[in-house]
Amino acid sequence: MTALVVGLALAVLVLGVLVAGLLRSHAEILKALHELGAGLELDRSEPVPVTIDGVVKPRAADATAPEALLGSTLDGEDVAIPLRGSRATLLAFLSSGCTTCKGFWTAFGERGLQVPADARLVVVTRDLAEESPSKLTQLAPADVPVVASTLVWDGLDVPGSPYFVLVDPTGRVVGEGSGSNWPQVADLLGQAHADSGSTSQRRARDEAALRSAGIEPGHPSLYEAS
Amino acid sequence: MRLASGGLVLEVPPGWEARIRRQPPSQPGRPGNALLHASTIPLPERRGDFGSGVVENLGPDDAFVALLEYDRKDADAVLFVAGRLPVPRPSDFSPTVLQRTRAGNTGAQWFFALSGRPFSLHAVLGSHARRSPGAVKVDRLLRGLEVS
Repeated sequence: MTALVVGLALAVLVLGVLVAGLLRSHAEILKALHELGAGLELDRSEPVPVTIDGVVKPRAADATAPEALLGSTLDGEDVAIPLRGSRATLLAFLSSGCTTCKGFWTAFGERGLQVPADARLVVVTRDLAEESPSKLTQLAPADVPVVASTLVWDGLDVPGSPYFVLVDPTGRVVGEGSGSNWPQVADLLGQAHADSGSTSQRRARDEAALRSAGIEPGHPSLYEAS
Repeated sequence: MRLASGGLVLEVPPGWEARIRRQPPSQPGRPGNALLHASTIPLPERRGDFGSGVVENLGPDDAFVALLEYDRKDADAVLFVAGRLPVPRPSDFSPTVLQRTRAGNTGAQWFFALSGRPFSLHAVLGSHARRSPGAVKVDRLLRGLEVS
């Protein structure tokens, strides 16, 4: 009888340890999800969006943005914002229901915001019919344009929110991607901008060296097999 | 790029930003009058109908244009007798036209009616000394404007 009681006690103990381990690993998973901004919010009806971490290079080497950003503002203005000109433009694709976006909405409302490449910051949401205009009005920073344009989301194949596309003054996409907070995105897009600049500087230097050596486009030496 | 709203269609030239909105209606139930802003510099979210908040930041080669629609009942007024868009000339611009004078800036204003809709066009250039290329810029913008 005593042996049976001891055996059962040991079994209960082992099961208790197993359950505690499972609960702990479950808590760690939830904590990690929360830190990534995709924590469980059971009172919400919308799906929790997925965050794509890290800024990547443009999908194609010659990726270009549309000539202009066409859409409408939250107060009903129809707008055409040029994506070519004297300044770069940072398109921030955000939505009202995305948990990770909250930090970006807040950061964009702060004074002295440093934008990579001294770019003009424009927040782009999906069309207002697909969004919550009242929530967007609460979130929108006072001095940053917020333009609703599903057309631009689809045109640039934006996979979700938050997502960022840095367009240089010639309309070339020099960096794009996502992150969990503004300092991370700003840092990575700044690197993408610097890399793009050094690439074009290197290309210009190489071209100048070739021209000074008398090698112009179409010169036979450019096509000789080594 | 083509911006269409409120019965206005604007072929926006490269380098210009444009926005069109409806003003609050003067009579309940009627659509508000159209207001078009266009500028060679970014248009801030907070700005006045005649460009306050924008014109202070114009560089010497920049331009700002405001097209304001008035109530249709005023279309027959003598003020709006001109029946076509203006063709801006450098001599149309004067620093004294501006509501608030600012060193260097210059402006011009025209009144006309198109398709039975009365409008005023208010143009501001960043530099009176460079009003010749500025007038050409504004003219190019207006050539892309249609009113229905």
